[in-house]
Amino acid sequence: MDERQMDDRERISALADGRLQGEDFVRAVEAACADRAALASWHAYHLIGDALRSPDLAGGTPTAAFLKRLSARLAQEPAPQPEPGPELAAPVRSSAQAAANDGSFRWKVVAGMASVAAFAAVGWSVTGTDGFQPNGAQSQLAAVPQQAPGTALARSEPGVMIRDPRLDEMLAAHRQLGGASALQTPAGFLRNATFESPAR
Amino acid sequence: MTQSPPAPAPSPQDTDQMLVARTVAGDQRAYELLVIKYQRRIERLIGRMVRDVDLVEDIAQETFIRAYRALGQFRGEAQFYTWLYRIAVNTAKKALADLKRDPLVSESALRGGEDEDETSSVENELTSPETPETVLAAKEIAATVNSAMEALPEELRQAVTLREIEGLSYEEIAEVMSCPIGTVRSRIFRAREAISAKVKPLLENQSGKRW
Amino acid sequence: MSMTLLPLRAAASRCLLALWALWALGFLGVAAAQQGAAQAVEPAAERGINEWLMRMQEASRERSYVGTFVVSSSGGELSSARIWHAGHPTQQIEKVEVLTGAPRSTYRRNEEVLTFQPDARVVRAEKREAMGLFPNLLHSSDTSIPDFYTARRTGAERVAGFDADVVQLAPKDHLRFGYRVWSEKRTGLVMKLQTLDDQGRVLEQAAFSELQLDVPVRGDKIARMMQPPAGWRVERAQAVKTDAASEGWMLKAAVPGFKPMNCYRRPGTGDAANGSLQWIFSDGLAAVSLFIEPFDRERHQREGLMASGATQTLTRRMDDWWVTAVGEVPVQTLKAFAQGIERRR
Repeated sequence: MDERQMDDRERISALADGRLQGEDFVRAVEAACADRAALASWHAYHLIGDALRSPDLAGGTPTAAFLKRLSARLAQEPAPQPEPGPELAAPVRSSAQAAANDGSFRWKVVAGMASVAAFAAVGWSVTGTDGFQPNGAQSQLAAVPQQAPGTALARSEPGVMIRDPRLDEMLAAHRQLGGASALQTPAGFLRNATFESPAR
Repeated sequence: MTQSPPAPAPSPQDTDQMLVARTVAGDQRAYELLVIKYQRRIERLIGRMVRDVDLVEDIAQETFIRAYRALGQFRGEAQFYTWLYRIAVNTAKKALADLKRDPLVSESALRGGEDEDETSSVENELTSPETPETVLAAKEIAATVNSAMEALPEELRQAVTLREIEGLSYEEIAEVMSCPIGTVRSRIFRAREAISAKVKPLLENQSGKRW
Repeated sequence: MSMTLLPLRAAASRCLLALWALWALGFLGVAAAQQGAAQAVEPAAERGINEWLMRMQEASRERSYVGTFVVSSSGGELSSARIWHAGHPTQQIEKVEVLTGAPRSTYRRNEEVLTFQPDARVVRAEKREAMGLFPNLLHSSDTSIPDFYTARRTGAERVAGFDADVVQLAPKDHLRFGYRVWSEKRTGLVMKLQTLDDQGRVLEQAAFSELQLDVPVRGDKIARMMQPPAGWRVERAQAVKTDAASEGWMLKAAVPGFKPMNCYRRPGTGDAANGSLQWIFSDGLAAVSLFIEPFDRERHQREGLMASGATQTLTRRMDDWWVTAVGEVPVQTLKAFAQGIERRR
């Protein structure tokens, strides 16, 4: 197992202990679902804990087979819909915890703005230097590894991820082009629905 | 960019809720992670109410389907597992009620009484619904985990014991073991990897089914 | 640059971008309601690109639907929202409730947009460009989408329980991305949309994970919810429409296919003498925003390229100015823009 896989496994382990949130959480979920081996690790880590606490939990239907059958049935179910209601389907947190975890909290501190920043906290991947030279020489773009073309979403390497509130502001302003202010509706040809990224 | 104050560490309950939120947002795989996490416990719970092994699995499957359908209503005011537990109990009760109405169903599928207490493991030992083969497989897995634990270097065994058996947080373990939290995370991970290496072959052999 | 609020008066919406090109062809848009029956006339395989786009646009405006919309980027990030849209030939009412991240609800009634932020008890009010019917005839007419893209139906698939035509929109040059669109067979509503790079890799995907189409959505109830609750602060966006030339900017060489659409000025905060300019271009399907602001040594430190999903960003210093180019276009297109910006004498 190479170093990157080890890192992914460790993320999965941290995820199993409920240690992650925001972008770390997303990365760990991606790592855990990436392939069968990763899923097997997620399973094994939990099985170990179960078996240590209570040997009879080592039994039951073999999980791989259980999940295979369940997945087939889930695929036929309509996707869960959020029910209408005053709150959204987001984790309930204490206000102090919410303030600390909320992406906009960080913007207020950094940018020193008086009003709430309502833009998406987006992770930007640095793809390379501009390579702009007055004499015209161009440098190579850092390659972002991609998977083979196809109809599936290509999962890219995150590369160097940065947060930049001003960039987020500009992105929000740019996305205004398509739709209803902060949020674009899938009207006609709209992509880039400017929904906010998962809670940080 | 200036540093923001470090956020308090999330809890395992937060992670469950985040996985639920992610499922409702469109990623079904996040739900599968929850299934893998809780399948054994849910089956054990159902197994206290229902004797037939195949029926236990069917009811467990049905439980996860019902939970999936109801995810949109889960507001996070209760813990996910508590909510799932109640769905499992209700699903099992309904299955038993249906069985009683069906004259063609064998009596042996039912168990007397509806014991909802998840922690009475002694009873489960005596009246396990499993076949001799599956009981043996379960015992082998448990034994392998234990022997793998024995073989671990002391600091790895201690870290994983404090986490999994004592239920301490990383912060608490760091205090007990007088080491940084990063070291706690790393030790728990390495312990899991070492044990997994020995357990995974057994899991793959279970009924010949692989991931 | 500092913006305390989202910019108001969005430039031509994406709806307009596609339709604007149809006008350029002298394609007078008929009141869409009358076209209802005509939609099925052209066999799906033979529709031209403008026809496809027109169907998609009309469906999004005139159909009523409720659904969950999910956007996923190649980085694994997931964003989604619940959408209620009450369709009508001349009136648009919709509500969008974000499901990921901080709670937000956005309401739109024609040009009026309100964004509710319950965590701060703030409502942001802004006006979009006239979105209702058809675009301004004064828009430049010497570019059209068929010059730069082709459309080809490649098959049929089911999405969220609906049969959809799969339409490949391929760029004719390397200055823009391609798209794969799943257009619901009966109405044309876009069910799923992928943005593709020149290798055919999917950069970003936006799709309905579930949808109820042609259900009676109570637009009147949505409209009633637009009243800000007592005690909430109402903020108005501060972007002012302007034009690049009078602001002192020009593009010395046009980037093929991209026409200037709108230009906005935003105030600076605190001691900043000048705010920023946002100059918006489009080729009908893709948009590029050029943000120009005075160079500030402390704030402007990272020159280079960044990406998020299909959106590429380029930052560069130009003498006393700092340029940020943002767009769902390949990097070389942003470079072409950046190299073409020039201060007028």
